[in-house]
Amino acid sequence: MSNVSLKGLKKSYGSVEVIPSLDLDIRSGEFVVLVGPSGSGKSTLLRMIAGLEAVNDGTVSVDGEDVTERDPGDRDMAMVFQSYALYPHMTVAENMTFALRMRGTGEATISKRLADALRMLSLEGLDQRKPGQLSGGQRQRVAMGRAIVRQPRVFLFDEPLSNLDAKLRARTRIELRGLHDKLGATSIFVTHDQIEAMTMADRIVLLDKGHIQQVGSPREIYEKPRNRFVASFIGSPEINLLEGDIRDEGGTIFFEQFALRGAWPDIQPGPYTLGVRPENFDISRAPLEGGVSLEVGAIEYTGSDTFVFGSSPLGELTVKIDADGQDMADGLRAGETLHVRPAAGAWHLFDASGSRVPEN
Amino acid sequence: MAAHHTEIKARRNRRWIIFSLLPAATLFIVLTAFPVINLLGLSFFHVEWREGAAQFSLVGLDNFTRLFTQEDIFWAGVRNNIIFAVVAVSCQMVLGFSMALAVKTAGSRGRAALTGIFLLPIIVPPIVIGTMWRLIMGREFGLANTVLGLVGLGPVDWLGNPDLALASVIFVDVWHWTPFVFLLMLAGLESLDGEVLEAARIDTSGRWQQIRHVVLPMMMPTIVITLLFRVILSFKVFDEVYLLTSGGPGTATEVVNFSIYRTFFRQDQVGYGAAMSVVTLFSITLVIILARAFVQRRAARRQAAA
Repeated sequence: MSNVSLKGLKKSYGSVEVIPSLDLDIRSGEFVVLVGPSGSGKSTLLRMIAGLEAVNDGTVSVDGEDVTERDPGDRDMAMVFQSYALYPHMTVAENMTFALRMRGTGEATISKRLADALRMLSLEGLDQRKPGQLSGGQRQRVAMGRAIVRQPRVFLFDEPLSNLDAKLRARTRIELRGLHDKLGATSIFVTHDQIEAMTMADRIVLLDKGHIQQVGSPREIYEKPRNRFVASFIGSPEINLLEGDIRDEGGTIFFEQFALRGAWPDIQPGPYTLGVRPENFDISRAPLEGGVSLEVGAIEYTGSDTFVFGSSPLGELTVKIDADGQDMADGLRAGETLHVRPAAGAWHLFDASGSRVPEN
Repeated sequence: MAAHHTEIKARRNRRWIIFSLLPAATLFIVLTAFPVINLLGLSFFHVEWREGAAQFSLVGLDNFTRLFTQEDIFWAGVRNNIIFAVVAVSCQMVLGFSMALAVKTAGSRGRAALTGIFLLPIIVPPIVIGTMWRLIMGREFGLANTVLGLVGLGPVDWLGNPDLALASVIFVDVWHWTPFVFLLMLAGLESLDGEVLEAARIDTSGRWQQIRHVVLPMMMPTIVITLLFRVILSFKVFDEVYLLTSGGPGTATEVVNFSIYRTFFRQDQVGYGAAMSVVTLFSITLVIILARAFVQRRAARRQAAA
């Protein structure tokens, strides 16, 4: 178990700055997910930690030890690649033990660790196969096995689940997280998939254009997004972001026609953005006091929930009708009108610069 | 009905395949198989030129008997050619592979410059190469001896000394053909999976381990093809020998192709030259078949062991 500390890390390709300057501390035994849209610098950051990418400035240290200038092979880190990157000319067993053999680890240790890993990953009986004879899921396991047998200080994952089909991906998520807990390792996991980030992470690091937008537990990120970018990146379907004005009417704060009772009593009036997640609406067929009408455009039925996409006087809205409201959802047709109102307390307010306005 | 229909379609398809392959196949047979058969036929004759016409007289295996019992120069050429092939091709493979690795690791600007410089020798026409190296390696006024003279060494008779001449020819051949090997190796390296190479960087300590255990095994198909190609071409070496030493001094740089050329064209012994060609052709073919069988057997054995 090891902590990883990044200080003032910078990366640019010519005049293109990929990571302007980044600080991050990863605690020992933690599962950290780096998530962001493409071009956010998340993969570059992981590759800098691995040593595959040169660092322009700043330091990478593991357990307080500066490894910035070390070769990737001398950092005691193992990496699982998106394409798995198995050695095509080696068998499963040779692939998994390669790093140990290159380090001159004893034969007894190697075969014990190999047997453990094969069992842990249910790869028994496949150890003499070549990668070309394995299915995608099996290759993915071999790639993980190759990392596990090394018992490295840090595990690095570069979108290792994105080549699996949806069903296998969901199962592997749970298995991978289980492995992490069993091994007590420090893991850094890169993905563009917010579901992977939310379900697997102890802490999420949300990146955009090389800047850390927010670091926090999945819950913190979802419930207290620090800015508009974080709010709209995490959550599916996306959060509703409504543009409008805040005004004070005799002590009650209004955002357009919505009364924001109890929150932000001292707020400055002016233009703001109100964020409301699709599940945080009161929905009714009859008009709601302080609500808006919603003309139904499209309906998506997912089994447990129904999502309604429509237009309101404040712009396009997505609202979720959960299992309790299925009676209402059943007869709903496009073109009909619903009435919706943000549920009390589930408001996210962002100022003109996009930053979250803290609740009192 | 449907089965009948597909049958017609299959037949029509087969006819289409045969007819579309026919022109290429005919051309191949006429241009490749026919000369070989003709050569084989010629090797059983003694040909003389009399009154402007060729006189063929059947001599059976006489040409072959003579080749295996009385010939010296040809067999000296075979010996030289084997030395030439082994040394020159080994050097070319090692150098070409190392250069390709260096270029692959270099940055994009360095890569363009290095590739340009490395490729120069293949662009130069063979006649220019021969003349150029004769000027460099000349005994009296050669550049090599002039430079050696500056540091008080030499002069060395690069092409006239029987102990050195073959080495000099090998040197020029290495200079000439290494870029070709380099180019094929670079193409091979570029086609390797980048993530696998990165995985190797993480799993190994040191560059040598990566090359020995990951890059070389993955490059094997390219290496085998290049090696085969270069070995065959090195048994066909002619221009360099002709221009640098003409096979001399004595038989020091005699090679198979040169013996055949001399027998055919200088001495007008067409039948005897044909016999030499036939022996050379079948020996090389046999070696290739054996080498391939060996490689395949080894691959099969490794597969079976796995």
